[in-house]
Amino acid sequence: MSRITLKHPQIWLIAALILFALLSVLLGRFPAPYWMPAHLLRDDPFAQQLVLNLRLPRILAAILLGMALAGSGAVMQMIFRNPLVEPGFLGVSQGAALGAGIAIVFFGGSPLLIQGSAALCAFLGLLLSYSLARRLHYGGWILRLVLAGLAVSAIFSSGLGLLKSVADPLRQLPEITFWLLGGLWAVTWTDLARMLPVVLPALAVVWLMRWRVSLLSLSDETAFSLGVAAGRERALLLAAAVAATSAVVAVAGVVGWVGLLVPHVARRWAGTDARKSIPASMLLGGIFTLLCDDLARTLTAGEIPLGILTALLGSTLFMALMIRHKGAQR
Amino acid sequence: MPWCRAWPERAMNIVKMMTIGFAVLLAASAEAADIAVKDALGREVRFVEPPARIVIAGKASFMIADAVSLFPGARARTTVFAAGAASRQGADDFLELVMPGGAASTPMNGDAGAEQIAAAKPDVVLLKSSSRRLGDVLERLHIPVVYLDFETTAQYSRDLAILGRVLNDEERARLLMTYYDGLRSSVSDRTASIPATKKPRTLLLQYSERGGVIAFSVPPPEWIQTELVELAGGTPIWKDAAQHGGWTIVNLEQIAAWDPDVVLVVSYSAAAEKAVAAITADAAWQALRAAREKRVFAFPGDFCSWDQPDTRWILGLLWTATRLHPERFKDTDLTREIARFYSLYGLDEATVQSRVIPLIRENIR
Amino acid sequence: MNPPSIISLSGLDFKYAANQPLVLRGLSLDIPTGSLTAILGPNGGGKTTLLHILLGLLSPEAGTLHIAGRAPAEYSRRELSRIIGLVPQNEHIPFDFSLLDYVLLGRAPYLGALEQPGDQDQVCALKALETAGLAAMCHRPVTTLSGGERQLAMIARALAQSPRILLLDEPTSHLDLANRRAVHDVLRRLADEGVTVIFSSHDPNLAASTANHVVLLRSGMVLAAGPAEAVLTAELLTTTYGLPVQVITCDAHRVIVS
Repeated sequence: MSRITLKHPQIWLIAALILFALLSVLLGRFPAPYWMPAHLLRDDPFAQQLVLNLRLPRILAAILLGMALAGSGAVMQMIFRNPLVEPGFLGVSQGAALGAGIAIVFFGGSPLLIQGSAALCAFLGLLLSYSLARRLHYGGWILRLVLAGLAVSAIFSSGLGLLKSVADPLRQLPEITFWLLGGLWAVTWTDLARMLPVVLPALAVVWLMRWRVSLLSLSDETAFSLGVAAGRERALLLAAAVAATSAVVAVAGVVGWVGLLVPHVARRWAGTDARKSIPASMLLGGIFTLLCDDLARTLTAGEIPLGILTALLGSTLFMALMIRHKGAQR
Repeated sequence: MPWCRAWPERAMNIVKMMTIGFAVLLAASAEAADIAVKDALGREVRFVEPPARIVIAGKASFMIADAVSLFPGARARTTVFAAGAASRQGADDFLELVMPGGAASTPMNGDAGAEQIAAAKPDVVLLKSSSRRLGDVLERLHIPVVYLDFETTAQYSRDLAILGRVLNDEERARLLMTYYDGLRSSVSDRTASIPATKKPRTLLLQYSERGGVIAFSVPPPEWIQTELVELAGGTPIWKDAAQHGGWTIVNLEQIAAWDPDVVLVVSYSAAAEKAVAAITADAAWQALRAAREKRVFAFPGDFCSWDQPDTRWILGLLWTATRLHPERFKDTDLTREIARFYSLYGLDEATVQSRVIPLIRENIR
Repeated sequence: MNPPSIISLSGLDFKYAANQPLVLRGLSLDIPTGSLTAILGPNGGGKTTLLHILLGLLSPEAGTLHIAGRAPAEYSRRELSRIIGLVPQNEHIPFDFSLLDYVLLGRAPYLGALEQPGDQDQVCALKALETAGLAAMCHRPVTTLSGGERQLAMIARALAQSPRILLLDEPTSHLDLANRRAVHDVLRRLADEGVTVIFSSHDPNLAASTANHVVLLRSGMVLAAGPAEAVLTAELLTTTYGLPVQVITCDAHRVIVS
């Protein structure tokens, strides 16, 4: 991937997203594997039902999931001046999953409680990762934050594992297992309605402040000299990022690699400046996750967990990117 | 009374009788056409007419499939989405034997997705309660879902009755229930009178070997394995130590501390007989009293191990009883019981001899 | 409103923490408007600290500070950043922004948190690049710039703020002769445009060639402050640096050697 900078990348990406979403409506295993003939939408009421109740909420949820994860990843990478972080590396996703799990096992699991608990633990995860990184004395900032984040993520993951042993095997255990792998196969319009009021405003905040994100990647000294209340603005952006992430994780489980890979690609294609790379990240994230989810539900008769596909595709693309980038300037 | 003058009255009578008759007929037909099924989760599922196409999916679908195959009328019109061969060897083989053309294996998760199930155009989908999420998705497509459990011996009778209603063959269900309840009682009646001190301290272990590492685990207290041991007149000594929801790994020290009278070894991956041979050859195991007294037995199985909540649990119960109380169950002829069991599947003696018995590698005499 | 001294300090004390010794003691200073002031002194003498105090990043223990006639507390952070800009000693830029985008970041004082830079901001940024002599490479990534170009880029970024006062912390310490000249030229140009330039340096020759006003700082106290000719004398410099210094005049250029 050489340094191709697209003119008006946003427009291309929005068009691609819409096109892809429309195509995804016809992808699936009904009535036969892979492709559904379009006329069925007009003629077959069952097909209409299927598309309306199964595919549409899934497509929209996948797009939202990708936008939230990639947007958060992009913000975190800039704010922490670290191109190797994503919500899944800083304990945010795992925190959200653990919070949701706790809500289910100990507190009855009403949807509102699940979301709230997920958000709380997600914030906790970020806070712990950051505080731990500040206290480490080994290596540069990039390394410290990644190490701390991995440690916190691992703690939360194993906490979730412990929760599994306490959970009621019939009712609660399947829920928790589902979270660890991630998947959108059971998403309903109601789930979507619960995600939207949190994710859309959070992404709107990120989008509005997209230029500031570049600014906040500079040193504190510089930010101060430019009259920027760096601490407050960073906190606001991170709050938005974590809120969006926890809202989608509470519905879809832990899905990794989107937040890591997509911002890298977005920066290369749309330019490093956050004004372009943040919207590009969000749109690309939506497309990537939609692609993975389409594969998850179409490739085989059984459902492939979404987290596995994003990891597979994401890590492969990431490796390809890194290998090519080695030849370029740095 | 002259005929012509009584006409209006008689007409009225006829009309009245016709109306009443019609109403009764209507009521009767309405009741006959509307089938209400109360499933394992207590939900009421209504069918206008008996479901024709039956789909079984979700986790452990083969256990439901084996139960459905006991109903001859259902065999030809059922599609089974079975988990991959990893869950049990021979599952697909058996289904092909009794339910020709009925199974479709799926890799990965082992669950067919909702769309794939919908593509099979089911009139009803049978799932285990643990697949509730999948069922919710299917119901959004207005596909009726009936949940079954088949987890404990008591649930077996209840769920056979449910199947009977769904498959429109309640008579068959009653026959099966009589079979199961009868055999179960014949065992439990004989063991009920045994005092606790005479009940052998029994340990049921799963032997698994992965990557050269051997692990032993015990089943949760609420699973059927524990129940089988109790019904067969044994004391399940692992009951307090086991966690809920899944197998708990135990080491040789714990086993030695328990000092069981009888050890039953289950293996899902390798032949249990081989497992027993391997562990009794082990010096550490030879120190165990049960091993010295030659009371370490391999749990038998044919297409699948008999210890699971599959239709074959009844065979497992009989076998366990013969091992725990050989004197009381001297008259139990396991070979005859196997033939009787598989006759329920419509398999004759010859087929049983050629297809089933060779699969039993454990000693059942 | 152009006061004669755009910055005036009086009796300023500063220390970093409660149990630390004073870094700056009783500092009193007036910096003339529109001057090119050099703050000289040995390493650790408090030069960077002084700059940070002027910027408002650090607060003094005691004393008064007036910037453009008012105390810093009377300005909002944004207003202050429209008046004073800082070019730090070096800046780690973690991402490969284009030069133009990087300089554009200097427009922050004029934009709200939710605003995006507009055409006017672009114009200011380009002008700043021109002043720094980097207009030709405005689309190159900052990570590909040489050391000297980087320094100029940082100056350009500060210039985009359109400040009245520009603070520079050791602007030429890593630069070779040619780049030093380039920086010198930019600073001169700025002073001509009326910007008050204050830079700290441990190299008295830079002050000699560039500044018209010099402040000598040693151990947190002002030894001398005034026009360059008056302050850059052998005696004062020897006291400041603690070793014998000679001032050689050559073709109206002063050269300072130890």
